[in-house]
Amino acid sequence: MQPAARERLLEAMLIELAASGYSAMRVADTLIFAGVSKADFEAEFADKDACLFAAYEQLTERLLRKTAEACGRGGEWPARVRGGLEALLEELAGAPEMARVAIRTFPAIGAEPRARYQDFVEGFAPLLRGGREFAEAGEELPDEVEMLAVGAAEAIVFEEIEAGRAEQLPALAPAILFSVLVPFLGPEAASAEMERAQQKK
Amino acid sequence: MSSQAADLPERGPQETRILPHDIVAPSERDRLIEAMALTCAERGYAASSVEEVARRAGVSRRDFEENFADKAECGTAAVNQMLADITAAASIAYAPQYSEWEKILRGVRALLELMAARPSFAGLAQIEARQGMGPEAYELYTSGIRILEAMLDRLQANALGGVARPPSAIRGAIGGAEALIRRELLAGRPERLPELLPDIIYGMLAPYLDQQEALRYAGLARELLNDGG
Repeated sequence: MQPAARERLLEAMLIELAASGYSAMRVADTLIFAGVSKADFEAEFADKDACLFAAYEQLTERLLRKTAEACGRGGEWPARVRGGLEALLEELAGAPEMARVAIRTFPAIGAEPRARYQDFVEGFAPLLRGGREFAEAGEELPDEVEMLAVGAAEAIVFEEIEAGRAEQLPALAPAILFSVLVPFLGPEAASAEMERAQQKK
Repeated sequence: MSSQAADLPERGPQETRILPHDIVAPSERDRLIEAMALTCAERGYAASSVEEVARRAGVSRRDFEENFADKAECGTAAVNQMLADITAAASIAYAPQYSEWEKILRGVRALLELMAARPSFAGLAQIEARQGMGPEAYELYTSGIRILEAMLDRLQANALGGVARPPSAIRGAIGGAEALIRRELLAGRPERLPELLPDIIYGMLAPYLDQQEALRYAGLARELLNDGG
């Protein structure tokens, strides 16, 4: 299958999942929508689940990549984190249905999809590693400080998407930034960074 | 993958010998609730069937239907039970002789020990109710979070002054702890949950206290763990 067709098919799978739900979605309908033949599908994927897992991987890899790219754009560590967070929130807000597929519709399918979601969430932790070097507390910080920060952001973002407010996520970037930075920097410095982010908006 | 560890039996030993597997609850309804939690821990809620839950509880499908209208009602009952147990465990730690900070420390410790002892129920309340079940279960999950938020909110009065904290800071503080708990449950390592107490305490206090003070409480949590006190 051509890369463009594959990408189109994977995107169509997630659109169909969002529209019909896992049980009701039909691969045949998705193939028509994506303009992909049954033979091409069968040459690439063992079944519906294999295709869905590939589609979810494509979606979450894109979100992680966009975040990592923005994190790498220079400036001091808090500014890089702010850039990454803003990029992620813009991505989620730009496609609310895909945001819901990422956090809820796909993970709801079962135990293995839920494990993939957990892997996706944990994938953000390495992006925060520079915080230990930047923070005054440095080596005193807990082993799990990155996951505490990631989990804090995930909880807030999850509730907003679940409540149907994905489009408003970018406006929450300064507040979420506070929760991401506070385990590394403490409340005073995190609050100052939040106010800086508010002024830039 | 989900934890497959069996929960420790908490109820009386009656009927243990005639029941299949690891279900020891005395009443048929409680056995079904336990079977639901164990089955969901292995397969996830969506893939769990009424037949399997009934078989695991040692009852017929008809017996199941006499206790619950459907799978969702049984699942919701299991989430409800875990939330009641969580609230009770945390409340005991809220004894008046402790400072607000110590109450949090002891309350979180009680929660982690409860979840380590009952990983299937913990997974149902923490993972399935949030992402795998229907709106009613999600509502229960969020009501549990609001209780924890109310407990944490009591710290505001003693928090470091002169700091602007967003309203979502409290949700973030709990979310950090949840992420660690979910990771251990999904990895099948529930026995590690109590060891996370110092880091979780740090994450919950970090938005409120001076950083060195939050680190000091994490150290106290470590001492509490080491002393077994």
